[in-house]
Amino acid sequence: MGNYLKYYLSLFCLVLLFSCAESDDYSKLSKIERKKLSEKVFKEDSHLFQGSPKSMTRIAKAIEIDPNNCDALRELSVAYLKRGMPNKWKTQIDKAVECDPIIWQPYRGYNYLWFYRDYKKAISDFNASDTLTPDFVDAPQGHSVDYWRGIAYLGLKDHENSIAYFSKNIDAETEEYGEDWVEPTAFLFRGIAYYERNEFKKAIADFDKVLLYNNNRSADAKYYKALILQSEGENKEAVALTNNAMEDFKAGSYNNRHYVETLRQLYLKNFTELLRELEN
Amino acid sequence: MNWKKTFKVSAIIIGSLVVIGGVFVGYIYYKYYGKFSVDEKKYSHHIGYINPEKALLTENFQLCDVGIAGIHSSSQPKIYKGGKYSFRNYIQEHYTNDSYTDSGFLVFRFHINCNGETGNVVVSELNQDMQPISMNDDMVQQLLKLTVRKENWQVGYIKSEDGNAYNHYMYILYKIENGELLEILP
Repeated sequence: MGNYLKYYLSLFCLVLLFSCAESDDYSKLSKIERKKLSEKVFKEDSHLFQGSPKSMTRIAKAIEIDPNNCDALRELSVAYLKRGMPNKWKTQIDKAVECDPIIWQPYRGYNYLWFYRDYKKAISDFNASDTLTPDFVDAPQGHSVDYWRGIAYLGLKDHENSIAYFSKNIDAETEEYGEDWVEPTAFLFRGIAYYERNEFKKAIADFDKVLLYNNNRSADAKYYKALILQSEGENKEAVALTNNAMEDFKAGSYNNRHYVETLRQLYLKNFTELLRELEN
Repeated sequence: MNWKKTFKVSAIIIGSLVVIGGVFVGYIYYKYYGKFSVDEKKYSHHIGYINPEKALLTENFQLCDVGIAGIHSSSQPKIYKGGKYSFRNYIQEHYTNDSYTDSGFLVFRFHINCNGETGNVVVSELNQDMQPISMNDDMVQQLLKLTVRKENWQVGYIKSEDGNAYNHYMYILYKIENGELLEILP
């Protein structure tokens, strides 16, 4: 009988453990307690599938507990961004920017740049970060706003500003960490801007830097160098380089992004068409 | 040797291990998935879910009974027949700006089933500030027809792990200025 009593008590404790539900009355909590609880709830969500009902409910709950949880406000926007729902994305990301403009305004600029190709709005958000943090250059998604502005101005075909911002980014990185720390696509995009301005010597210098820091493998750098050779009438060399570029492309050494096409994205057909032109 | 006793002890040990294992798996499931509730009113489906009852081009279209892959709709080259390069060329060659004055974003979200057929289309017409507007119907219909053309899309999405074709979620976003196509994304 004594043993049965022990089993019942254990079962009771187990049931008690699983019945511990969080109270939804957060008004009794202090501001600091709400902030801590909101962060805890938000962190617990991180492994749930992005955009799933459970994940969205959990993030919304973190915001309900602390409406100033800016990270949660931003996170709620991401699934809409990746699944092609711009109006819903904008509603959410604007709340995050209002909550913490220092962190999320340059990030919104990054989204405008890549997912919506709204170069002007992107530049406006990157410029705002200069005012918000005058003492340092922000780096949303791992790259300086100068690098992102270089891309945005290239999107607008404003080559002068594009080159100026890439140069600013390259010079700053080189001075602080050394040239081999510079993001190679900064050289690639600046090279493209020079190429589109018909400044071929400067373009080649940048494409050579891309190849230098990519173990001589870059379909994009070789493709543009082949275009320059073509414009100079050096078709034989251009054919060899295009074939070489195609090998790099097939091996996966080309500029691309995961969720959206990159700027001046190259496809296999770009190479085959160039070859056809060169061989005719 | 007392076989009866040995059998009894073994059965108790195995039974206990099964119970402990079951409780452990249940606990892990509860802790990492089960305990998270769902706000059915606000988030009854995953983001991007397309309700066929509210979508266009649903007649004679059926998803295969294999689930939907790729719901993040990245620019997966596999899903475009001939790559995005061919898709863009086709749209640019066949689209005509018939003096349209619309500017903004036109988005088609849709499904491609495991047979490469398209359907379940949701259309969003937005201005440059991403607010819903009504665009020229002729322009929308023209781009819809060009976009969902079966020949643009691969026969489903094949998962390398099992070699099976899946349904696919896809979106195409046109950035438009005065009826001209500035960008085709993603």
